[in-house]
Amino acid sequence: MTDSPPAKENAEQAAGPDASTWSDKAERASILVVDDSPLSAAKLAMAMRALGHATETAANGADALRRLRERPFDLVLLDIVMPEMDGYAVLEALKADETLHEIPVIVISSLDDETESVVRAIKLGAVDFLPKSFEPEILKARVDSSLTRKRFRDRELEYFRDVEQLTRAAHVIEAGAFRPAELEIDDVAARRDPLGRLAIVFRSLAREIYEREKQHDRTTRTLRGTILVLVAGGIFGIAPALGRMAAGLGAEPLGLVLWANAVSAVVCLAIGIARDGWPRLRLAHLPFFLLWAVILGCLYQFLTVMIAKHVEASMIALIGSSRGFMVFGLAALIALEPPNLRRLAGLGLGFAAIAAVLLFRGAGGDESSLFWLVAALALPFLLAVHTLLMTWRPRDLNAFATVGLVMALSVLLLAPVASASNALIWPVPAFDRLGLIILVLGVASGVAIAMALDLVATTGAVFASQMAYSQTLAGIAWGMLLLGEQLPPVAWGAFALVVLGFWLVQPKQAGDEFSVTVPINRS
Amino acid sequence: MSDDVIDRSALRRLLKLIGGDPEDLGDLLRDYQDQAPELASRIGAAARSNDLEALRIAAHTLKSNARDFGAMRLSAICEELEQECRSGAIADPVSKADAIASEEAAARQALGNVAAEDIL
Repeated sequence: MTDSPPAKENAEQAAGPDASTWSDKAERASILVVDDSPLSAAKLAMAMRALGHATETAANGADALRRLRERPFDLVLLDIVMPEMDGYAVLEALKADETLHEIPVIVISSLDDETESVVRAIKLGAVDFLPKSFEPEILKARVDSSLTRKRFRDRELEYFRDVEQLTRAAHVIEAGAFRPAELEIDDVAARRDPLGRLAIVFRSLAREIYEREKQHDRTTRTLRGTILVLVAGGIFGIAPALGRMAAGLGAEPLGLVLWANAVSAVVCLAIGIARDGWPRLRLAHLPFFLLWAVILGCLYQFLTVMIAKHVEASMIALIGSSRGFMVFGLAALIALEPPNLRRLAGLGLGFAAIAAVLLFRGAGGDESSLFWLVAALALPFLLAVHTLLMTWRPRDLNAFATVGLVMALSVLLLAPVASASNALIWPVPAFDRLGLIILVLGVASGVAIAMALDLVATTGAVFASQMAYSQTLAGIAWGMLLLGEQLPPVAWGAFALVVLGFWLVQPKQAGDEFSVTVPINRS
Repeated sequence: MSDDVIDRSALRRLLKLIGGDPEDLGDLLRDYQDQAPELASRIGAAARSNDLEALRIAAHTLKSNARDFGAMRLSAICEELEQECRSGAIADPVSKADAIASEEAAARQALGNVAAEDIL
């Protein structure tokens, strides 16, 4: 075959396994000599070693099958006449074994009626035989020829396996969502033949599509995340304006929070149940919801009331805007989202914009003591923990049911405190101004937090923490609309900078679990 | 005397087959001289107990070994016995086993007398 003209070699390469080196006789083979006579076995083993091959000997048929199953051999030299399990029985066992039937066997006849025994052995799968009396050259020629055929067959089988592997990779893509690692065609791509080149092209295209889709997914999530941050922050930002309106009506802040939370709980649970039916609560979730209710529904609300008495509202908003950095730092600390300079710069830009607006409006001009300014840092810290808690919420409950439960729990926890401090208020059954404020505040808080849950799931906690900025900006805008406050022109510039910050922060990158679906056109 | 019993061309072929190292041939020869009397006595025991299967296999093995070492007469009478065992018609196996034993002893002695230079 090495004498074939180049054109023929090329044709064979294109058609199947690489045949150009299949007559490589110098390759050291592994040969099993099976003979019950130790002397004959030793003689054949020496002969094989003299030809440059590695040998093992087996004293009977059962021993031979055991060794063949333990490790691969390239050739078996098999004696026919053996006690108990003779050569024919060994051939039958090899033929019946899926993993062993490809190993070539040369039988050593040594029988007087050579023809009959050889015919029987070849019918049972032997590839060749050694006559009763043979010359060393005959042995060498027959061993070489069998090994050459074996090597070619091995390459052929490897080729078929690789074709199968490539076909399997195509099925993976065809079947739906895929990740490049699932294709497992690196071994095929390492081949130096047309099949290998096909695998390289296939793999490159699959990777390119995957990367493009991953980038596309991120862009989509950035847009969706930006809209959610603006809308949820915009809704949430109405709270301070409503709070000031309620305070103007003489309502106790704690009582207001209690009722607003109750409205949130009822509205969110109703939406959650309407969407997915009754929430299937598990007792294991209870400590998690309790912690969340304590942090968001109780501690945060209670501290807001406390601190609001000592620190100016715009200063609280400014300090609250540091939430993004806190989430960024905490997420890096617990290895939830790796930190990077670009995201830090994005958060910094948003913070600077908000600081500029608030300082322009005269924040920090009051006489707040340093103690209360530092204490005000607890508010963004609690909201940062709340943002991270949103990441770990149980995913078998929808966002509205989750918020409804947290709010209901916070009502149960706050009610005794409000009652003890005489802060309980009882809105009149008629739909008065305070009742309307409580209703709007409750619905707005519930819907905004539920949207925030969706936001965290879409973009990760760090991106979602930018709600602090949109919330503050919206607070100013709602103040202007509801309370007739003036919106400073610098706020518009700040808004642009906050949006630029969104672009810099970008949502959390999809992990290795991200998969891509390629539509297959069969026409 | 050894000329009649041992075919030196068979020994030369064996030496060539195993790669031409006289030390390897010496090892094999020692193995033969250890195993051949044992095979001859196995043939005797099988003949006396009329165990045709054991007789056939022992005769087959001694036949092949004897042929490799040029003991052609021993190989021929072993082959005859093996064939009779396969056909199932064997007359006086004990005397045939005795004949094999004495031919084996003669061949072994003759092999011991073969000079290395006769082969190399």
